[in-house]
Amino acid sequence: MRSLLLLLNLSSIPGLIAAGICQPAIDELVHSLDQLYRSDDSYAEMSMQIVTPHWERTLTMKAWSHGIDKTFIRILSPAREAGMASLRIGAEMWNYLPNTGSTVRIPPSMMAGSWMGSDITNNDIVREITYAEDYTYSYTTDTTLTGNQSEGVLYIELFPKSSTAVVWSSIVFAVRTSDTIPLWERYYDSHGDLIKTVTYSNVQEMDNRTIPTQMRVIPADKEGQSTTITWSHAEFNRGLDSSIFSLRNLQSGE
Amino acid sequence: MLLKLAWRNVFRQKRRTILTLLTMTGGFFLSSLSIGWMDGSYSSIIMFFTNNRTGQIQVHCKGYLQSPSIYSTVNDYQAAGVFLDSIPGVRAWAPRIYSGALLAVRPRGAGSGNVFTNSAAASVIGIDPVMEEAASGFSSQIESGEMLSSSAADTSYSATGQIILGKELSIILEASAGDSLVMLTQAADGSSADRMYVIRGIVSTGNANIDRNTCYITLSDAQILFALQGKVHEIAVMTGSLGAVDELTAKISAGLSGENLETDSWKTFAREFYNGMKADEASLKVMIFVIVLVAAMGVLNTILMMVLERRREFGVMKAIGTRPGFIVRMIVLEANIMGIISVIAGGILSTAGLLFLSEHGFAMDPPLDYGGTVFREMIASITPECYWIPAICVIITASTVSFLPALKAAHTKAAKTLRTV
Repeated sequence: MRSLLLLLNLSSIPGLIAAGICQPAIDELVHSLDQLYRSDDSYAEMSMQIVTPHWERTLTMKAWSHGIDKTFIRILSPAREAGMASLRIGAEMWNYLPNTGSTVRIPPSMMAGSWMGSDITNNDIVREITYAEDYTYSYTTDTTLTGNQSEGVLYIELFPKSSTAVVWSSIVFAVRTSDTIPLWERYYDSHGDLIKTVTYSNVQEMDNRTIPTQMRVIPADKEGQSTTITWSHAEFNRGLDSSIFSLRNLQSGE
Repeated sequence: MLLKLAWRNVFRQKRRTILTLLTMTGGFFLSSLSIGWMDGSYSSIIMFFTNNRTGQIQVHCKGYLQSPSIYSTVNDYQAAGVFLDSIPGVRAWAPRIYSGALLAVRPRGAGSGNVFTNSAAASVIGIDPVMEEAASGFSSQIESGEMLSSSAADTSYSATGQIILGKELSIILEASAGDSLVMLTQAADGSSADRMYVIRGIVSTGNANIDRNTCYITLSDAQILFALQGKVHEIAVMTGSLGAVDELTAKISAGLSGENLETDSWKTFAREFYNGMKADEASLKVMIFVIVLVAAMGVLNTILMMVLERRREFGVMKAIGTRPGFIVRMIVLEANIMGIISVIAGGILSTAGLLFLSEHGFAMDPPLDYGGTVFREMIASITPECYWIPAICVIITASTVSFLPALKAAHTKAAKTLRTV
């Protein structure tokens, strides 16, 4: 009887949210944003399209991750970059350059630099922070930050804690109420000026998880520039060999 | 009559005249030396700064100086170069490419492994070894190793290139001439580019800020690496003298106006340096003003003394019917005669002093640091300003400071003065 009541209660929550009757607990919502692409380990195949006013190019790649502290990415195409790879263990990052057969450590001074010419920085790849633990957050109704607010969308403003080393002062998330899938996030500096916008789209089920399979980063200060990552395949929690995240594997070029 | 009288009066009381002459000559001499030293110092700083690095004139794609970008290029730099060669007064020109990169070397004792852990971000400058040598004498700044020469990397993307590191950058990377180095960068077409280099030399430009984050590769290599075939970001133009810079800038600007290019003199592209020097120039002008003021006070004092001592003489002159205007003109003329003698004497002394300072200069201890460029010795230069500015100051001072005492003398009461003095 008690189980039945619990099941009834739980099953009624999405309905209530969808009806706008109540908001979900914000802690759970922020936790769900943290877990959107994360898992104990993951494997993904993706493409990254970089558009600038001067050139446009698409890279395809495979990416492996373990927890939040290990990432390995291998570029598959185009030919000039094929075989290049990035390995991140904790805060350290290494790049393998097949043309010279060398492995180069990325110095701290370049962590804010662009990764593979995209609008994603090395810091974005190595970041180990979570919204739940490294930010304070609240729902926001401030339309200067969110723009016109839509029905069925929740807006959350996150502020980095003093111990969180990031270059922005706040993030605003727009999250679909029905399934807690993010629609977009906007990064603001200390003057309240927009730094970049990240949009999420093309929600699909991959390996029993519902995720936006397209993420676009649009820097606010570079007109006509964007980076779009599209997942074509993803696997979660399949148990990865830890040797993937090693300098030996990085230099194997495979 | 007036001139004759004034001339005789000057030499009547020799001790007083010598005192006034010494004050005026001293003021001329110090002002002249200050101006010569200022002009010489700044000329040598500007020439050192511009000849070693920037050139006196630069040609860029329009907007590059305000917002440097790998995409803002001089597309047909060789045609621009042909035009520059045709202009008299252009001593040399050097094409350059600017970009950024990640540099990495193996840690000491790591043998020939492929892991390059000593890494740093750096500015990469692509230079034409021959043209750069003619323009800035680059090889004279190389501390160890050798100048760049043409290499296989000039024609092949995958070949090993040659690189020169700034001295402080080589210390950060713990690298020396002969070591291998990997460069990772992004080309103008968006692709990632990496290349292996051998460190050919270590350069010390005299500016530690620049040497801390700058490396140099050949222009041809940079054009392949950054996908900028046939293009450069800058043409540095060297002129024979600073005096011709403004005229040459206008001439080059007019000649290249249709090419979406802009031409600027060092006063624009090294604005902070120029403004700093202008501020210093202003403080030196204040110093010259103080020297002139002190000399003027001295002259005023001696002329007032002279008027006081010669009260009886002026009384007699008034008694025999001399008009006050005549006395005023006479005293002012006396001061001007002394002024002219001081200018001649000061001119001779200053020439000797300036000649000495232009040969030997002042050793700067501690050395003067201008935007990271260190100057150890300052020399004077002899320019017309060293003479005409102090000369005008002395003559104007003599005329103005003698005027009030002259008025006082002109209004001497004849009867009272003859009774009491």
